Amino acid sequence: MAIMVKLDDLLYARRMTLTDLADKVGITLANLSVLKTGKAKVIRFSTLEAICDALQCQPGDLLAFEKG
Amino acid sequence: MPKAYRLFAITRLLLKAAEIFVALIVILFGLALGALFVASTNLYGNHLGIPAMLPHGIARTDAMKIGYLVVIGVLLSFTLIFFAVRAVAAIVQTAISGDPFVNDNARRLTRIGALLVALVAIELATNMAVNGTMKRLADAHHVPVSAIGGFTFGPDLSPIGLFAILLIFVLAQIFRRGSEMRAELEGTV
Repeated sequence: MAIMVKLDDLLYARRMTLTDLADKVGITLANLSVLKTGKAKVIRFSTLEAICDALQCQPGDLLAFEKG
Repeated sequence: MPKAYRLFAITRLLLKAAEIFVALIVILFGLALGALFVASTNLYGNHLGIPAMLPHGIARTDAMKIGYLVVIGVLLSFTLIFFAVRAVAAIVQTAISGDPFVNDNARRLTRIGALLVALVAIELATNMAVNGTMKRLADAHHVPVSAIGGFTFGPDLSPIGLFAILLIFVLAQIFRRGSEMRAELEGTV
């Protein structure tokens, strides 16, 4: 997978659980889990915005490109 | 139940009835094939009182050939129709369960289109074979074909029918694309 989702690292750095984030951004736990495990095919800008807002980060902190 | 779903339920009922009706025709013509076989043997044919020589000096076995062609043609046609009806019923069932945009339905539509193409081919082939056999018989016995009887089997190649078959293949492609989009939406967060 060329695009990596670094949600795990961000959550760890902030000592947050996925459930905390789900409560904060108003996205279902199931959808966040899809994102975290790298199974997501499409990400909405609104989702990205909500996560960045909740974690006080930039989209670049959440996503990374790796040549594979 | 929403109105659209009630319509689907009625359609499902009608398709079930059609399925049973077509299955009965298949069984009936299967029996007819057996009866034809029995009647065409010398032993039973004589016993049943079918003369070995029909009017115009046509042999019973030759006349039976036409019977075989017709019965086999109808039997094959209705077998194809049976599977087409079942495929439509399966598509309606997915609509009732609320998820019709799946790749299975695209495959089913393609299969229905292929079955209809085969149906047209079988009807044309049967028509040609029966008319050809009649012509040969009539020529051999020096009588006009009308003395044996004209014959048409199944609907002719109508432009509307061919257009409908084409439409089914187009719909199959659209369903395939729809199921892809549906799968993508499921991976959207």
